[in-house]
Amino acid sequence: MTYDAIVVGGGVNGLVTATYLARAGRRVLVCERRTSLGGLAVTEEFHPGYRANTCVDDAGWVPTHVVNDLGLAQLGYSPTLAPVGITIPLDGVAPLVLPTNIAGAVDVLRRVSPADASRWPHFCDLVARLAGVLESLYLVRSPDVHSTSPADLMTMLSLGRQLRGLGKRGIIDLLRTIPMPMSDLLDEWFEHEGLKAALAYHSVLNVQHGPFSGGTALVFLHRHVGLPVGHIGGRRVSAGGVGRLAMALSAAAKRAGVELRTDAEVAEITAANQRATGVRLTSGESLGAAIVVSSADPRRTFGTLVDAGCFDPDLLSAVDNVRMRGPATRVHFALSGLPSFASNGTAWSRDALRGGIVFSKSMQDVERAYDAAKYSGTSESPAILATLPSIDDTSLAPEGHHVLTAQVQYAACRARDGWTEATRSALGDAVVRAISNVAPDFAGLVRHRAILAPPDLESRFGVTEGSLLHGELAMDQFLFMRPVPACARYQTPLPGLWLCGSGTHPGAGTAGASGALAAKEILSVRR
Amino acid sequence: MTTRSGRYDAIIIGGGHNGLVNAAYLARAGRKVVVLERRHLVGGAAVTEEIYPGFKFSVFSYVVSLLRPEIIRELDLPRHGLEILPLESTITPMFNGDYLGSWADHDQTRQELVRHSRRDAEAYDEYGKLMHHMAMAVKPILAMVPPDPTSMAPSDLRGMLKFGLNFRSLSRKHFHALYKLMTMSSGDFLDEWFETDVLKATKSASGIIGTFMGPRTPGSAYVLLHHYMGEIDGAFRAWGFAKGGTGAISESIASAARELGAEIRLNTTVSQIKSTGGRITGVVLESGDELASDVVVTSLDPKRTFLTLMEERDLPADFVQDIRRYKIRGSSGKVNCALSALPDFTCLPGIGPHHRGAISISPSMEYVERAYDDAKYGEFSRRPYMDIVFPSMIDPQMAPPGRHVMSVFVQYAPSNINGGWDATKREAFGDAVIDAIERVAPNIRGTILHRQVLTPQDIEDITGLTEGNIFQGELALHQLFFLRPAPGWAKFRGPLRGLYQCGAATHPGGGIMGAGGRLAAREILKDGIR
Repeated sequence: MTYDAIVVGGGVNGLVTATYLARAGRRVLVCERRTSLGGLAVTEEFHPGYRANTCVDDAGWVPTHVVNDLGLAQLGYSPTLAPVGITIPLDGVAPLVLPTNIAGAVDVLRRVSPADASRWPHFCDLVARLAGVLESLYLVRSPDVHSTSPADLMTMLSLGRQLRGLGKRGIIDLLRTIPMPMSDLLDEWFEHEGLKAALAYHSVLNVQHGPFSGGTALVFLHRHVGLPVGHIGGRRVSAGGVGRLAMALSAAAKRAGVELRTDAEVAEITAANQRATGVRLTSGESLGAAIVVSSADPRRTFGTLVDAGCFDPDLLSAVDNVRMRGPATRVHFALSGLPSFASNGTAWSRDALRGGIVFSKSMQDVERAYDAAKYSGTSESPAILATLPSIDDTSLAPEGHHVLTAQVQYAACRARDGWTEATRSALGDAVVRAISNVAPDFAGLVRHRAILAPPDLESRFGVTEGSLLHGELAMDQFLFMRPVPACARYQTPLPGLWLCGSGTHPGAGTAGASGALAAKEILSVRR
Repeated sequence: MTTRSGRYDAIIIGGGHNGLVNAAYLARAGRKVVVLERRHLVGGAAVTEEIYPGFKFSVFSYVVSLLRPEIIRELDLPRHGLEILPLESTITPMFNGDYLGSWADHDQTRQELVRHSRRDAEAYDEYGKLMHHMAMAVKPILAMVPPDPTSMAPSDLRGMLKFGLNFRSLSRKHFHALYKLMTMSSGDFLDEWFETDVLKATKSASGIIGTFMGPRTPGSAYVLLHHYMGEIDGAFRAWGFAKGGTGAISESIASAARELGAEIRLNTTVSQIKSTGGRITGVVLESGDELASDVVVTSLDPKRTFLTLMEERDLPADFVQDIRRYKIRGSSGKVNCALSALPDFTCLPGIGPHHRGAISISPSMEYVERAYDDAKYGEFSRRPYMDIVFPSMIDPQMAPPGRHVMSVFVQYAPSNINGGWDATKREAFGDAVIDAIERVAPNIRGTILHRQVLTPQDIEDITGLTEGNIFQGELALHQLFFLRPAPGWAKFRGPLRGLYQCGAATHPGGGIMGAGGRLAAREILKDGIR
């Protein structure tokens, strides 16, 4: 039995590619090693009765055309935007709760800094404008500056025209901002340390860099692609969690006629006569296909799934040099009640619990947390971003109970001293300590905690070095450099083998943008 | 009021190498120019001074490789006394008692690398070739006035096209390598090439010199390339010393400028740049005297020029904001010592050829990165990265017979140290430096006759460089090319008619390069204001 295409991995991008191919009349099989589909966009029960967004708090930006093409809204994916972006605990006074409506945020900021309040709308505007440029770059395959094909020249020209459309200051802002360290950018805009720390956190999400590193402004802008102006630190929220997107995509795939197989781990992408021929599963079963599309990360695809003999050593060493470096540990708490968040005896507002709570007090705190990871260690005082998804979504926990998820950075996956239960516990304890400062009853409410450190993310989700972005987002791993120049347009040098995962352009946590572009490229090649 | 005959065609503020180069080129074109230097000698940060009787020091900048060969040629600097003596080796002592050496002789270096890693020895040649290609690709850009990407003017469009074609002419492989160099950290870039930690640490050090970045900070790979640039020109293939110290370079340019008719006034401090109605009219000196000219060229850093010598109301508001945002960030210090004898390095006992080269204190990537960590949080490095040379070994005139001078370039010493620099911190910093040297050369302490410790604050106080930054501003990607020092003002002009910039804060940046001085002169002559 042979397929027109076998997609390795049933994550968001794998499902999107598969669906587009099936809609074009191809006979497509998706092989997923786990029991459920969705890859990193899953909401799972981590303790009886408690469900959490295992890997990511937001499945990411799904390009509008993908939502429409695949009919995802009808299939149950119609997220709302979180009304509160960021919550910043302050010493002794009520937290700063930044709503995603600009006027509201200005009011809030006025309390701590009139200067910052007056700059907020302009900052939101800058972020929206520059993220908008990225968005349009993300809707087309990466530019090829060397190509002289009319199509590429047209793309370059239209990008150039769009750039010009930003106006003089806009172009400067773009070129100047992207390579900047987030700390420099924020110092230019704001004075309040807590505000800067919280914003800085969103510039280092899932990358092993501190906000003092060049290029973190790019990470921040990337994270805001697809969000409306003002939604700084914003999230898309679906009833039932981020897994809702996976469910809708699975349904779309099925509807398009894709064959979906779970518990079907690909051991090898097979090749013969310098051409990909199909896959062999760990069960021993071999399946043939005209093409194989891998949604696994580049290191996994080239390093373990395909025989090294199929590739030029230069390509393999380039792939080997792709920086993965997942820095994040996810800690999920099953809580028997709502912790009493309070400052100086005054309970936090409900809105405060709807934002992502950043516990770092200054950009330096975030930076210091990063230092340990540079030496393959674990932060003693990690940078923590906590969310309480159950505050608005009662389906995630038994009635009256809650789920709190913390993103904890930084810990090196390949730890110098190895990973032990003690290392994991220390990260969990750091979260308990941080939260107990503002919710003293927190520890007493914890029924269970699940700690997923980078090596756990690696083994459970197959992401090399626990990189939830399938490769660090950085200027040198961006656009035509992602994942490596030779595969930047989804086709690999091995005929019949394609890539479609987050490790390709634009990838890095966007949802389905890579998958859609990969499908388009695949379909543009005549059968 | 000065009479017309007393007027200058151009006044150049600052007698550093860029100011002098600028003056020489303007004078060569027949302009009547004067250079105004605050100190009693020319050179700015490129000076030789006898700070201890009988011992001469290249007080600040101490090695040279970036000086543009066309300047040496066009100004005939060798005739004016310029002589460069090559620096022949770099030795990195390791804490295990071993060392890593690199020598002017290629084969010798390869053999040394084989001792550490056969694989790295192989990669070394490839790496050298690549860096050569990269430097060649960037070279035309160094000699180019940065076009404004936001402008539709024909000259800018032509410039952008030239800029673009320059990159397109590279092979894909080289283009991608150059893109990586422009965006990566030097540590990550070197990881792709080598496995020997001490080799990567020593190489990565070129990526941090003069910047407030660590080897793992993205952007530092570009600085690696910036420092590599000097090594490709025919004039001299490697880093070297000027005979007579770095000041001799400045003196040779000054001599050429004087011969061409430029006037150089020492001990002359400018307190204000004057303008009316958007046009430059001259300068006011601290003495109260005024000098008139329609052209003023500043070789000072932009914060000093625009924020202290000019009135904010005379400048466009967004320009002032851009200058305020411009990151200078002094990160390095200098320790100059007069020695009764050479230090004896444990890894290579006795006096040997290694004393004629540089000693790099960069035993591991982690060592250098941790040195940066201290500075990030406002402290000097407890265990700093250092580049040590003994100029008296190459040029015996620098010290009395049998005695020596030692120049120690140190990172990191943040200009914004917590609580500010004072005498106690300066001495503590000096002690940390000597302690770190003592770890590899235990006899050092006993040989020191005199020690001069220069913190970024001292560098600022003496030379006038804001925050003591030797590059007049961070060589970060967002401060290069058409963004240096401010978007829209990267063409050596300032926002007033007749105002020009020629210092290291202009494209292509720091080092004793002289490119800014030369390019600015060309632009001034093109504008034809006098």
